[in-house]
Amino acid sequence: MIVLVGSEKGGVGKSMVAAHAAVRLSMTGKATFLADADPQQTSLRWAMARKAHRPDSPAVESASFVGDLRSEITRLAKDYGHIVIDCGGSDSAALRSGMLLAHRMIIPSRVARRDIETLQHVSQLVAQANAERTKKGMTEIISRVVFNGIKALPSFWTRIEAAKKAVEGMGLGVSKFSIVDRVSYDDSQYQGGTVFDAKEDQKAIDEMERVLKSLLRKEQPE
Amino acid sequence: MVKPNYEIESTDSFIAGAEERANRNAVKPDNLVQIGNRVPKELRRQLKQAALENDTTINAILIDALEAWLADNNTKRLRGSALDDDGL
Repeated sequence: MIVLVGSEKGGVGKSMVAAHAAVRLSMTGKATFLADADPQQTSLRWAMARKAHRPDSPAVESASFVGDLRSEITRLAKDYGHIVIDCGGSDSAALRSGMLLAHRMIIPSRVARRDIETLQHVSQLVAQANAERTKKGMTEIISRVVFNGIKALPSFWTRIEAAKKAVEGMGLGVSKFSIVDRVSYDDSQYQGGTVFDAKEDQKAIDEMERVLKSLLRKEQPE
Repeated sequence: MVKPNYEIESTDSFIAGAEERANRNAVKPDNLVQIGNRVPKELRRQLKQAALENDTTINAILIDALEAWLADNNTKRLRGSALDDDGL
């Protein structure tokens, strides 16, 4: 499976989600590659640290990429069972070419007005990518917005519901599971880890498992 | 009459405890190969086995063990193709 993690907005947790998706897919036993198409190279550094400090953990190979990803990713797809692409927070050739390749697209977003506003453009890109894919006889990319960094407060749920309605109104699907703002997500990234490796915060493990399973399962219900 | 020191030492459990501890920490065959914790468990096991069997850690044995581990590791991972839509 090829999974694209991208959006137009920075600081929404793309690299964190990409790292967790890569490790969870690697746990299936298939060779997994994390393609870092973000100039900040957060994912590449994370994967290098993982290789150095966690040689017994599920392996995630990584390299950085710029521009059109199609030829490189197609070549890698022969050697890896799963590829996760981490795109930077901007509309780029990497993001658009990834949309033409990937089976799934995860779009992390904060529940904040200025973050949600950027999803309008992402929605247009997804629609354009799907039109291109249809022309080539490909299936449409299944894309979902995942709310990240939400507060575990009852009053926050009304904000999530309102944000969900706004995003769905733009034509984008929203994951029914969100990611709570937990320090364990940040702490676990130390030395290339994830909450699946640290095994310390069971709530975070269960939460991330629910999110990823709903987005990356083999067959989507709709 | 004052008791001689050697008699106190020979019956003192504190002293005996030190001996027990020293025995527990005596060099065992496992300690023949000192490898850092960052080396994968399976590779550590194979290197120890190679060192025990050959009673040495010369380069050729280390290289053989490394190559065996790499070959084994490569075949263990399922390759598949990322072009297949098969996630979790």
